[in-house]
Amino acid sequence: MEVQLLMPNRALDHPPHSHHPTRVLPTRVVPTRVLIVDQSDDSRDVIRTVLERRGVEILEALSARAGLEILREQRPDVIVLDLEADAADDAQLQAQYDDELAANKAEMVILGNLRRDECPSSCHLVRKPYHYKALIEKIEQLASHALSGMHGSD
Amino acid sequence: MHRVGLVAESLPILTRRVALLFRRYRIRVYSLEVWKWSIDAAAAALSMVEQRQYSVGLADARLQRQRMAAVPSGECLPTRLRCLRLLLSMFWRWEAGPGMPSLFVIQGRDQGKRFELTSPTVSVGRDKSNAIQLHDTEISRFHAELRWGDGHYELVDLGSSNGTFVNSQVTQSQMLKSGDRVQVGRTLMIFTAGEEHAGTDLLDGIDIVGRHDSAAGSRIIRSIGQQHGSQIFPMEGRSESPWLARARSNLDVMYHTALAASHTMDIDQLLHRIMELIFEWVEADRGCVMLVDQESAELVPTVRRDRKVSGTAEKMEISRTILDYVLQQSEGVLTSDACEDERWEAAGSIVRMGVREAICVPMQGRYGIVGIIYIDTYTPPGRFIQRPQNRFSDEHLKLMVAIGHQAALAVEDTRYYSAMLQAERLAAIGQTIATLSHHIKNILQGIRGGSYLIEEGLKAAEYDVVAKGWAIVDKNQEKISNLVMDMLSFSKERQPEMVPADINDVVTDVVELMRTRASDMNVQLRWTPTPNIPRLTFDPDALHRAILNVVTNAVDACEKVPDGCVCLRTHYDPSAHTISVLVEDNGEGIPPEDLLRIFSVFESRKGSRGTGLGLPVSQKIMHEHDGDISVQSTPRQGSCFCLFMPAVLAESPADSTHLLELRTTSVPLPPDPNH
Repeated sequence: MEVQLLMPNRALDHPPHSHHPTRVLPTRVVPTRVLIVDQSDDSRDVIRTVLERRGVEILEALSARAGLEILREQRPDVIVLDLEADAADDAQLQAQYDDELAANKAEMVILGNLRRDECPSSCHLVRKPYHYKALIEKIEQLASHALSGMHGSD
Repeated sequence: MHRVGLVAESLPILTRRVALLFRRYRIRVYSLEVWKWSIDAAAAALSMVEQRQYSVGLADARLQRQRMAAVPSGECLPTRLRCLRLLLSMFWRWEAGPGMPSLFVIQGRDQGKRFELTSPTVSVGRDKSNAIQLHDTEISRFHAELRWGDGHYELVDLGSSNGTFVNSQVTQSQMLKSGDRVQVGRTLMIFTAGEEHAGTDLLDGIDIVGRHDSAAGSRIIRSIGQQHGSQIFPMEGRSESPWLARARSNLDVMYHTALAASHTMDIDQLLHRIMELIFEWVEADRGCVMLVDQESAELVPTVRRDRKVSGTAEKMEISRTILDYVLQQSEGVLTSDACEDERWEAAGSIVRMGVREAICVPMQGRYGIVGIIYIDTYTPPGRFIQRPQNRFSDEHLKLMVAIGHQAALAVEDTRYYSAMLQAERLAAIGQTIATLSHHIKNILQGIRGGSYLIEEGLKAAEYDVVAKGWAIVDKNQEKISNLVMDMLSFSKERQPEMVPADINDVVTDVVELMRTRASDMNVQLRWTPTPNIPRLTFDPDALHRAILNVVTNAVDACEKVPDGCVCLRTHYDPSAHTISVLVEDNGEGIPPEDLLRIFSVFESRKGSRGTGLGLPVSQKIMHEHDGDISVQSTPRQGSCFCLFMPAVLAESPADSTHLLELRTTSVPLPPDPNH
């Protein structure tokens, strides 16, 4: 299978509208998909604005339940879950998230004030209040990792 | 949480019935104390009836019966049924919640804390890994454990250095029941077992019949007020035996002691009154009350009284020997002649002081001795004056013991109440800080996000990103500004700054301020000012805030609704002297179960966007104007908020009559001219 990857960091140098993809692999374009589950309009707005400029496709949900549906249907590469989102503390939902993450080989960033030992080992914890620059870099790094995994498997 | 006292003849039956009552109405009771009927117990119960502010209720039908029996025939006092109904109505108003086994700290550094026992094994100790961590240096790191089994908790000492005590008895292992006092180190806790088992419903046996139900018809023959309660054993000029007269007098003293205990929340005031009663009743020369200091456990003089008023009262010396005996044995003592009493032979202090008669009684409360009451007749050394013998008798001693108990209960209640108040206050402050910090943190996160976008936009010279970032910053600075204004409005007691102003101008300002936000959210704002409203006297800045908060909510409620629309109207009613501002939206509406809570502080239905201060502030401002806010709402159809207040014409002084009327009547929403 031929795949074109838009590596997020490179994409920053060459936004999608510049017609200068950084790394050209024949045929199919697979943009990185990031799902943001956060009830804060501001947070979603900021992350979306920055990442979209870097060629990342953004999916959004206000609640953990809605996020799970999107996760199942759209299979994003990275999920950013704010623990203040509605139902984010539902243990059953968390287990379903874990299953989906494992099945999709997706990465998850948890935004909240968990203790390290409370955070699942498969997830990446970003404590609040966070700096967006650091968060964006983390998302990009995970997206890059997820994509290289996918590319390797292909 | 409530403490309930029961005085009854048939204790098991009544206790069970009352317990059922609590369960049915989910009333949390931390202790249910039962006393077999006696004069002392009745007096204690009487004092409790007076103390509703303590959350103390009376579940005592038999007491009423006894009182009824004690007054001359013809007096009509509440029947058993009415008494139980009274009890119901008392508890009905109180906060209810599910019962859960718990330990409540009533003494020690953790005073006021309540630990719910939610697991089968609950450890108690100084170490922070304990489920119940107590800050008490006299407690071992792992002191004791509560273990659940066979429907009850068992308290097991884990080989602690200073031991574990239940009801003042050292124990290695003991089954706990409600009301047990658990002491570890210097920390004293009360155990509550939680909900009782299910049973038949008391209310099935009680029916409250209508006024016009002739079958159950009864009429009030006579009623008496609280102030006549002291005449329950009137003398009525009849000759009677000295024994009966003394008994009446004793009961009278007990009754007044109980009243004193119930009428004051000030311990000093209470103890002064009790000492005054003692002096009215017995020929003591001197008296004092000493309370055990809660920190140092030392006796501290609190009240002193001398029969002879002189400017230079001699220092009152009280024998340490007597005090120690009373405290250690928890017994009242009478020394008819202290010099000759064999028990005091070793103690020279009594001889030297020349005390002839003294009574010293412990103030024995539920949880320990809170102090002592001491009275004596005094003969100064070297001035022997012959006095009549036996001014103090056994009867005096017995009654003093009862008075000491009464006073101790009142002292404990007051301390407990203060501790509860303090704990509640601290909890409220903690909750306030936590809630506000959360809002401020979210706002700062927004500002941080906006700033980041501006930075990114400037770097890439993309001004649409800068503009987006700026909009987020702007929105959040507006949020923090509103939060601060709401906090200020809510926190201080302020008198509105009444000036002549135009209500339509105020609403117009609000509409202008909200227009951009409403437009961003695709919500239409319609403003229909009623013409010809005279200038009124009110605080325009405060009203602006009150209306702004309501309009902000209305716009937010329409966010997810297609064709969202918020309509504002003013309505002036010159005949009723009222002015109203109506804010109507076609938003998501408010479920009926939430309507009661929308004016409560920190109750927000807007998730992270709401502070839970907006509506309480609006309501407070309307109250400051002798007005209020009424709400009508239908889920999925919308809400209508009506802010109404008396219309005080700018040129006329406020008419206090209709202000009062307005407070007690609801203002109907005026018809909508647009519909």
